[in-house]
Amino acid sequence: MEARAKALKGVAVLFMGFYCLSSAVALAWVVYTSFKSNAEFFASTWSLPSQLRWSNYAYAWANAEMGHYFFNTTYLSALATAGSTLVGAMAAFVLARVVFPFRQVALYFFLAAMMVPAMLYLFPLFVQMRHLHLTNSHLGLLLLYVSMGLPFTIFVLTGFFRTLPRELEEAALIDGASPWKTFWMVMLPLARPGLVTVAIFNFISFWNEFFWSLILLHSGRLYTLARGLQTLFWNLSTESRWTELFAGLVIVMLPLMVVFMLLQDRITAGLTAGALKG
Amino acid sequence: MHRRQFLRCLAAGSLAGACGRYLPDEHLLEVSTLQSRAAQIPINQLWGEAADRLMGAHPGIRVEPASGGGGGYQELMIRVMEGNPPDVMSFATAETGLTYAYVEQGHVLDLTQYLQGPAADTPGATWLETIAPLYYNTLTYQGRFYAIPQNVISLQIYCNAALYQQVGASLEPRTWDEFLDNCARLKAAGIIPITQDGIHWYTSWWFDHLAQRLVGAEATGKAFRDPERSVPWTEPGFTQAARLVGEVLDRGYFAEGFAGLNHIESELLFWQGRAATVFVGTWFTSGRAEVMGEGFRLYAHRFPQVEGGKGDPHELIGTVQTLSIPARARHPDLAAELLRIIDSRWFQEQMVEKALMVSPLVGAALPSAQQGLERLLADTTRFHPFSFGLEGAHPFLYRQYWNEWNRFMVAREISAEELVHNLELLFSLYYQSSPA
Amino acid sequence: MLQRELRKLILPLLLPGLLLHLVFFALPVLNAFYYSLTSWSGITLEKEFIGLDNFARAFGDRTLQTALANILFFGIFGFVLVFPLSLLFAVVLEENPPFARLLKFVIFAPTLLSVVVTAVLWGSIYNPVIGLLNETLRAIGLEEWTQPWLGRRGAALPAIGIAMVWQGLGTYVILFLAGLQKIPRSFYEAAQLDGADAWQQFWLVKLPLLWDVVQILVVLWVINAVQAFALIFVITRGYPNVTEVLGTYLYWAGFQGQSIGYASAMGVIMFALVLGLSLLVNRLMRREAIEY
Repeated sequence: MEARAKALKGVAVLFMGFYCLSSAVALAWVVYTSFKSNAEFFASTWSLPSQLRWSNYAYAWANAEMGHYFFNTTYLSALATAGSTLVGAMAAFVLARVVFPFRQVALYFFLAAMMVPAMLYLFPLFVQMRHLHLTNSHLGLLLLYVSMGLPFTIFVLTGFFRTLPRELEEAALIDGASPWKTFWMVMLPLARPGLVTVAIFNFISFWNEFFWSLILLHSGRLYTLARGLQTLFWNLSTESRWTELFAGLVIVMLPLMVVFMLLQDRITAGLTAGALKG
Repeated sequence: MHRRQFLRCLAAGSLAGACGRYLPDEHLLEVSTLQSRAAQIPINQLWGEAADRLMGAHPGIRVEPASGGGGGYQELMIRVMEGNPPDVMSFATAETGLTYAYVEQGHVLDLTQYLQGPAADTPGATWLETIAPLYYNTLTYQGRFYAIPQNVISLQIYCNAALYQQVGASLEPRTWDEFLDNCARLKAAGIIPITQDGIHWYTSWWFDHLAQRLVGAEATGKAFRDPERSVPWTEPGFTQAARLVGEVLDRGYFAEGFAGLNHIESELLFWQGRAATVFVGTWFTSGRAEVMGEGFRLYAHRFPQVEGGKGDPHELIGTVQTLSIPARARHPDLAAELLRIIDSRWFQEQMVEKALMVSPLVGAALPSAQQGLERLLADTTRFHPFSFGLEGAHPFLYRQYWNEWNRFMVAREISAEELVHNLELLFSLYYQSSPA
Repeated sequence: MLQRELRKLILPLLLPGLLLHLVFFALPVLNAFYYSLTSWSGITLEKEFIGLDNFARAFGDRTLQTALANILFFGIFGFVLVFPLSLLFAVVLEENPPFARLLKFVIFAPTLLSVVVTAVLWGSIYNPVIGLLNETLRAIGLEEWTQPWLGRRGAALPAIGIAMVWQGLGTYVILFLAGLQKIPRSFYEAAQLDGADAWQQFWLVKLPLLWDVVQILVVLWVINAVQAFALIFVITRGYPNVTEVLGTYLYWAGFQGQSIGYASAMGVIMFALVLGLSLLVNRLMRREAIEY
C-alpha cells in the first residue's frame, strides 16, 4: 500500500514538474522572442535572439503608447482602490455595527451583486453612462470601478468589523468622542489588516480590469494596459509585428509579476483569508 | 481646520472639473474618425495633420476625437438620438456604404450645397467634380448627397505577379475558365493556388460574385433583400454559382486546411510566397509594409466573368468609406471644411502613398503596391454594396447566411442543391417573421 | 445611548456607497429586465414592448444553442481538469517539496495576469503558422499533429479550455493548500492508528474535510464558464466564431446585431443560468459540515 502511495506521489510530482516547466517555457518564449526582429521570428520560432532589440520595447512603449497606458492604469487603479476600500469600509462599519431597520436588506443589497453577471446590465449601464456623459472618460470609469469594488469590500469588512469587541465604540463614546471621530480615529485603524487585504485584492482586479474599459473607453489616450494590449494584439498581429507585440505583452505582465515575487507570501495569505471566509 | 479647508477646496475643485464635462464647448469640433496619433497607423497620422490644418486656419477651434469614435459605433448612434452628435461621423454600417435608414430619419445633413462649392486645392473645379462619378451612387439618396468619400474599398483578386509569371499564368484572366487554368498551372508547379480564410464570411464573397456574374446584380440583390422573395435562392443560376465553387474545391485549388485559417493566417501564406492568389479587398495592403517585404510584386485583377452569364462584368462589389455630418452637428460649416480637406489632393495623395489606400478622386494615382487596380477601376461602371446591403440591414440573417454557405464550402456537409434550398428557407422564414 | 449615537453615522457613512451601488448597479439591472421585454434596436428611438417574444426567439435560436453547448463544454472540460490537477498540486505542495516557493510562483502567477494577457499569450502559442505549439510539433517530427488549433471547433474548444484552466488553476491550488493546512495533525495520527496508509488517508481524511472548498470551486467554475467572455473575445478578435459563447453572442447582438432588446434578454438568461446552477450545485453538494 505504501509503495502504491509513493509511486502515485512520484507521478504527481513528475506531472507538476512538467506543468510548471511548460508554463515557464511558454513565458520564457514570450520574453526572449520580444528581443528578436520579425524576420528572425518568421525564420525560426524557437531560435534565440541574435542581439537584444530594445527597439521593440521602445516601439511598444512609445509608438504603441503602452507607456501612456501604464500611467493611466497606475493612477486609475490607485484612485479606484482608495475610493472603493474607503467607501466600502464606511458602509461595512454601519452594516456591521449599527442596528437599524432593514439592515439585513441593505447588506444583501450589496452582496447580491456578487452573483449577478456583468453582462446582464451591460447595455443599460452603457446607455446610462452615455446619458450622464460619463462614457469615454476616466471619471466615469473611476466611479464605476469604485462601485464595482463595493460588494467584495463590504463582504470582507463586515465580517471583519463583527469580530471586533463590542465595547470599543462604547469606550470611545464614553471618553467624549463624537461618533464621527469614533469611526475615523478608533474603528477604522483597527480594521487595518482587513483593509490591506481588501486593498490588495481590489488593486489587482482594477489593474487587470478589461471588460468595462472595453465598453466605455474608445479614445486611445484613455486606454488602460489591458485595453491597450487587446488593441495592440488585434492591430500588430494584422501587421505581423509579433516581436513588438510580445514586447508590449512583457510590459503588461512584468509589474504584477515583480510585485508578486516581492510580496508573494503577503498576497497569497491575504487572498486565502478573503476567499476562505466565503 | 487646515485639513478641512483643504479637503473642501479639493472637493469643490473636483466637482467643478467634473461638471465642466457637461457645459457645451463652443470651440470644440468633434470628429469620430480622429484617433490617437500614436500606434503609427498612417491614416491616423494624416487625419491628425488634416485637423492641424483646420486648426491653423481657424485659431481658437479645437478638433478632437469624438467620444465614441474609433469603433464605438453604438455610442455614436446614441449620441445622435439624444441630439448631441459629433460634428463628423460615418453613417455607414460595416461595409455597406451610406445607410439609408439614418437619412430617412433625418439624422444626416444634406451636403449637396457644400459639394457644389470650390474644391480644396484644385483650382477651377467644384468639390463634386473632383470626385469620380463612379462613386456617386454610394454617396447619394434620392438625388441628394449625404456623404463624401475618403477611400475606395473594393474586392478583387490579388496575385503574386512573380509566381504567376513563373508558371506562365495570365495576370488578367477574363473568364472563369481562364481563372481555373491559372490555378491548374500553379498547382502543377507545387504552389498553393488560392489561400482563403475559412472561418468567417470572406468565403461568401465567392458566392456573391459568381451569383452576380451568372444571374445579374438586380436579381442577386432581390434574392438578398426582397421580403416578397420575387427571386428565390432556388433559381438555377445560384445553384450553378455554388457548383462552380465546388469545382474549385474538388480540384484542390484552395489551400489545404484553409478551413481553420483566419484571414491573418491565410494572408500570411500569400505574403510568404507559398500561395499565389487571394480574393480580398483594397484594405489588403494597408499597414502590411513590414510583412510584405521588399520587392513583392502585387497585381490585382477583377473577378472574372462567366461565359454565358447574365451579369455585367464591369460591375464591382465594393464601396467607399464615407463621412457625413449629422443634421444636428454644432459646427456644420467647419465640419464641411474639414471634410473638404480630406478630399483635397494633398490629403488624398498622401493617403495613397503612405497608407496605401485607393483614392476616389478623378485621375488619382494608385498605390504603387497595387498594380492593375487602375485598369480595374477605369473599366468599372457600377459599385454594388457588400452582400447587397444585407449585413447592415439584417445582421442576424447575414450571419445565418454565411454560416450556411460555410457548411457548403468549408465543411462540405451539404450539396449545392441543399444549400440553395436551405438558404431560401432561412430567408423566407426571416422575412416572414420580422415586422417591416 | 450607544446605538442612538451610532445611528447618526448611517447617513454620512452608508449613503455614498448606497448611492453608487444604486446608480451603477441596481438601476441598470432593473433596466435590463425592462429592455429584455422590448424590441429596441439601439440605433433608433423606438422601444416597442413585445413581452416575452425575445425569449421565445431565443428558444429557437440555433446560434444561441451552440453558444450554450460551448459553455457546457467549457464548464465540464475545465472542471474535469482543474479539480484533480489543483488537488494534486496542493497535495504535493503540502509536503513542502524542494523549490516550493518557485513552484507556487509559477502555478499562481497566471491568476494574477489579466485575461487579455492569457488571451494574447495562448493566441500566439496556438497560431498555426508561427505559434509555439505547432513549431514544437514540427521540431520534434510530429508534423501530422499540427493543425489550426483555433480554427476548427473540435480543436478550438479544448484549446481555449486549456487556456482557461491555466489561468484559473492558481486560485484553486491556493484554496486547497490552505484547506489542507488547516487540518490538524491529530486527524492523521488517529487515522494512522486505525491502520490507514497514505492513500486511504487521502480519500478518507483529506477529501471529506475539503468538501467546503470543493463546493466553492464548483460554484466558482460554473459561474466563470457561463460568464466567459473576455478570453474568447480577445483570442478570436471579436469576430463571430466557432467558439461562440453566450457572452460573445450577447455582445455581438447588441453592438453589431442592432438588437439591444434581444441582447438584454440573453443577459437575463445568463443571470438565470448563474443563479440556477449555483443553487443546483449547492443542493447536490450539501453535506453535514464537519466541525473541527
